[in-house]
Amino acid sequence: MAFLEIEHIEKVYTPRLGGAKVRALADVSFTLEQGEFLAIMGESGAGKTTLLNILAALDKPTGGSVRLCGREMTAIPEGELASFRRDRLGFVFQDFNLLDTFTLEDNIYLPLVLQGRKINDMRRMLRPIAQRLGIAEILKKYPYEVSGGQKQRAAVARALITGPQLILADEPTGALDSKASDALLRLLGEVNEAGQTIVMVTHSVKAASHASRVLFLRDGRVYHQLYRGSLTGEQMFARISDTLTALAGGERDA
Amino acid sequence: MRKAALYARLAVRGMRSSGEIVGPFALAMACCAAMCYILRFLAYNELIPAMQGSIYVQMCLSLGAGILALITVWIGLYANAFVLRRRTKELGLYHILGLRKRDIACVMAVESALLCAVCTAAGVALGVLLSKAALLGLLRLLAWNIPMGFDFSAPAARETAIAFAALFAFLLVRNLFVVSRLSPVELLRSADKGEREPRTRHIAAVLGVLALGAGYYIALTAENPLMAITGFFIAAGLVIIGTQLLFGAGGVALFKALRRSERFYYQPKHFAAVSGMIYRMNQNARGLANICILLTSALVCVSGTVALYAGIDQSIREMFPHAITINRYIAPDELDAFLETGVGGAAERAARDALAGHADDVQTQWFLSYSLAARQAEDGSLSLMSPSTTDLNGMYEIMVMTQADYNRLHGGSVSLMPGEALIEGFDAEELRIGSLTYRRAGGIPSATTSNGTAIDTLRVSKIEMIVPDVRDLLALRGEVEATGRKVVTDIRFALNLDPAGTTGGEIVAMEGELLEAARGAMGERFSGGLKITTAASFRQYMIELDGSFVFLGIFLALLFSVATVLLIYYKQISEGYDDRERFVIMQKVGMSAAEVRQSIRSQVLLIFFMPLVMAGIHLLAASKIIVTLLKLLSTADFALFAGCAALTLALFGALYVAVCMATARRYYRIVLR
Repeated sequence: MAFLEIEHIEKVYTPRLGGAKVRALADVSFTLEQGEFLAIMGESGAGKTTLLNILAALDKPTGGSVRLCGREMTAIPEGELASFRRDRLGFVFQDFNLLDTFTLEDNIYLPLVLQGRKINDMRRMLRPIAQRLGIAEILKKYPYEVSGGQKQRAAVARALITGPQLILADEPTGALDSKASDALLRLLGEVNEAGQTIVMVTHSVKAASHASRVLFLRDGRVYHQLYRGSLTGEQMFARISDTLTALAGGERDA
Repeated sequence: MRKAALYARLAVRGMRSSGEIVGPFALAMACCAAMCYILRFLAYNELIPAMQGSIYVQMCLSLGAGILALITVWIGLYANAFVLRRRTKELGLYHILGLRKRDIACVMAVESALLCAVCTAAGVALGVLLSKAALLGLLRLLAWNIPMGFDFSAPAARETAIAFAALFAFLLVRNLFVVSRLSPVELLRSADKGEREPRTRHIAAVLGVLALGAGYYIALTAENPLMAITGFFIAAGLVIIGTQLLFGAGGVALFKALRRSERFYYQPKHFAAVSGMIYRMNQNARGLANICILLTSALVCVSGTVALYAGIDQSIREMFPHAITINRYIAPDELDAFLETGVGGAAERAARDALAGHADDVQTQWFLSYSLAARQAEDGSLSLMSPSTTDLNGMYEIMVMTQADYNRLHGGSVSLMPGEALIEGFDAEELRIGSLTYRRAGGIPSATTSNGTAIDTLRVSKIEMIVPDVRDLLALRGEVEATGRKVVTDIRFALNLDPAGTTGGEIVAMEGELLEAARGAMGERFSGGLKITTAASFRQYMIELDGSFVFLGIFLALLFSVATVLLIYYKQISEGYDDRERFVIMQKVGMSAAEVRQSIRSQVLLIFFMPLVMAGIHLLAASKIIVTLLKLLSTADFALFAGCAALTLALFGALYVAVCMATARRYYRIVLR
C-alpha cells in the first residue's frame, strides 16, 4: 500500500448561474511513497492549486479517490476535517500566513494550542525544531520584525511541529529573494532527508530541481513525470527546463 | 440628463452593495429623526400648555431637544466617517474607471440626498406612529387625562426634515472635502495597514486614574445638594476624560496581563482573541470608552429619574405630614388681636364643619409657631443665618412653639419658667440665639406637629423648642430683625386638617370651599393672606415635575441606546473585517468553524464586558451625588435609588449582552464567509 494514493480524481466547477462547467482536474492518478519529495509543476490553470487544495482537504474532488495511509480522505466527515488537517498535515504558504498579532513562537504554537496541548509540552516540542531551523534566537520577535526567509522558516516550524504525515508547500519560495529561496530549499531538502514526506507546488524550476520527483500537470491531467534518481541538481534543472519547453510547445500545437 | 441617471444608478448600486454598513447608519438616523419629530410634536401639542405644570414639560422637552441635536450630530459624524472609510475603495475604482472627481462628487451628492430623503421619511413615519404612544406615556406619567384621537403635526415634520437636510448637507460637505484630498491610489488602497503592538501607555494610564479618581472623589463626597449640581457636571466631565484615557491604557495592560497568564492564554478559545485584542486596543479604546459613557448616561438618566418618580409618595408623606394646611403669617401688631378674638379656634371649627359632610372623620389642630435658621458658632451658640447662604454645614432649622399650644394639642402639663425651654435635637445645657439664652429644662415628651417645609428635603438638622410664652416667639422674631435683613418671617398660624376617607381629588376640589370657610370664621381682619396647601395638590405638582424628568430620562436613554447599538454594531463589523484574514489563516492551519465561533464569542465577551462593568462602577460611584441631587426635589433615600439603579442596570445589562450576541453573528458571517 502506497503512502498517498490518488486515483482518477476529477474536479468540475459548476457555476452557480448555469453557464459552462469548468474542468480543473480531468483525470489525475499517481502514488507517493513515504519520504518522497514531490514537486508539482504546470502552467497557470493546469490544476496545481486545485490538486493541492484536494490534498489539503480544503476541497473535495467530484470524482475519484484520495487515500492517505489507506484512509479515504473524501470520506472524512466535515466536522473532523479541521482536526485532520491540524494533526496529519503541515502547510507552508507562499505568503507565509503568519499572524501579525503573534510572536513567531506563538505562531508556531498555533496548531498545538488548537490541539489543546499544555504549554510545557509545546515548549519541549519547539526546542529541537527551532534549533534545526535556526530560529531559536528570534522566537520572541513579531513577523514584521524579521526577514522573509526567517518568516518562512518559522512557517516551516509551524508545519513541522505537529509531526505531520505530509507537508504541503504552495509556492514556498514565491515571496523570497534568491538567497533566501536557496536556504529554504536546502532546508526542505534536509527535512525530507530526515524522513518527512513533502508535496510542493511551484513555478520555479530551481525549486522543483530540489525535489526527488517532479510531476507536470497540463489541462487537468498528468502530462509527464521526472525522477531525480542519481541526477545532480544541475542535471535535474536542465531536464525540468526541457520538459517545460516541451509542455509549452505542446500547448502551441493544441 | 443621461448623466443624472448614471449618477443615480451608481449611487443606488453603491449603497446597496455596502448595505450592511449604510443600512444601520440609515436606521440610526431614522430613529433620531423619529425622536426629533416626537419632541417637536409634543412641543406643538396644544394639550400640554393647557395644563398646569406644563412649564416643566416644556423645559424637559427643550433640554431633550438640545441633547438630541448633540447626539444626532455625533452619531451622524461617527457613522458617516465609518461608511466613508469602507467605501473609499469603491469610489477610487470609479475614479480609475474614468469618473472625474466632479462626477464622484455628484454621485455622493445623489447618495446623500437619497439617504436623507429615506431617513427623514422613515423617521417621520416612525415618529408619527410612535408619537401617540409617546404622548400617552407622557400624559400617563403626569397623571393627566388621556384624550382620544390621532394627530399629525405638519410643522414638526417640516422642522425634522429641515434639520436632517441640514445635517446631511453638512456630512456631504465633509465627505467631499475628505475625498477631494485623496489621490486615486489612496482611494484604492485598502483601509487596513499593518499596525504594531501598542505599548502600555503609562502616562495616559496615570492621568486616567487621576481624572477618574478626582471625579469619583467629588461624586462620593458630595454632601450639599446646592453645590452638587456644579459638582455633578465637573465629576461627569472628569469621569468622561478618565474613561477615555483608561480604556486605551488599561485595556492594553489588562490583555497583556491575560497573555502573561499562560494557562489562560494558551487555550484555543482565548489564544487568538487575546492577542488580537492587544493589537487593536488603541483603535478599540475610543469606541469602547464611548460605549461606556453612553451606557453610563443612560443608566444615570433612567435610574435617577425613576427613583425620583417612585419616591413621590414618600416625599409627600415627609414634606406634608398633614393632608390640608391653612396658614397665615401674623404680624407682631396683629398678635394680641389674634389671641384675644380666638379666631384660631373659630377657623378650626369652621373648617371641621365644612369637611364634616365629605369625610368620615376629621383630625384638626391649630397652633402658632416661629421658624428660623441658624448656624452653630465655635463657642456653641447659634448665630442667625443670612438668607443667601448656600453652605448648609452646621446649619439648624429651629421650630419654636409655646407651651400653651403644646399643652392644648398634646394634653400635656408643661410649665416652664421664663428663660427655660424644652429642647429636642440640641444637647447643650443652654441654647443661645443672638442675645437670647434659654436653659434646657428637658426634652419634648411627645412629638410636636411641625409642618414639613421646603428645607426639610435638604436634611438640615432640626431643633424643636417649647418656650414659656408667645412673647418668646416675638423676642426671637426681634433677634432675626436685629440682623438687619429686609424680609423678616412672621409668626405662623397653622391649621392642620386630616380628613379620613377622602381621596386626593376630592380634597383638591374642596380647597376653595375650605379656604372660604376659614376666612369667614376669621373675620375681615385675618382673612387676607390666608393660604391653603394640600398634600394632594402638591403631589400632582410633583408628579408633573418628576414625570417630566422621567419622560426626559427615558427619552435620553433611548437615544443613548440607539447610539450604543450603532457603535456596537460597527465595532463588530470592523472587528470582523480586521479579523477575517487572521481567521482564514487559522482555518487553513486547522481551526474548525466551531472553534472560530468559540474564539469570536470569547473575544466579543472580553471586549464588550469592559464597558458594561465600567458603566456599573461609574453608576455605583455616582449614586451618592445622584441621591444628594435628588434631595433637591424629593426625600428619596439611598435604598430607593439603589433599588432603581440595580433594576436599571440589570435591564440594560441584559439588553446589552443580547445586542452584543446578536451583532456577533454579523461578525461570524464576515469571518466565515
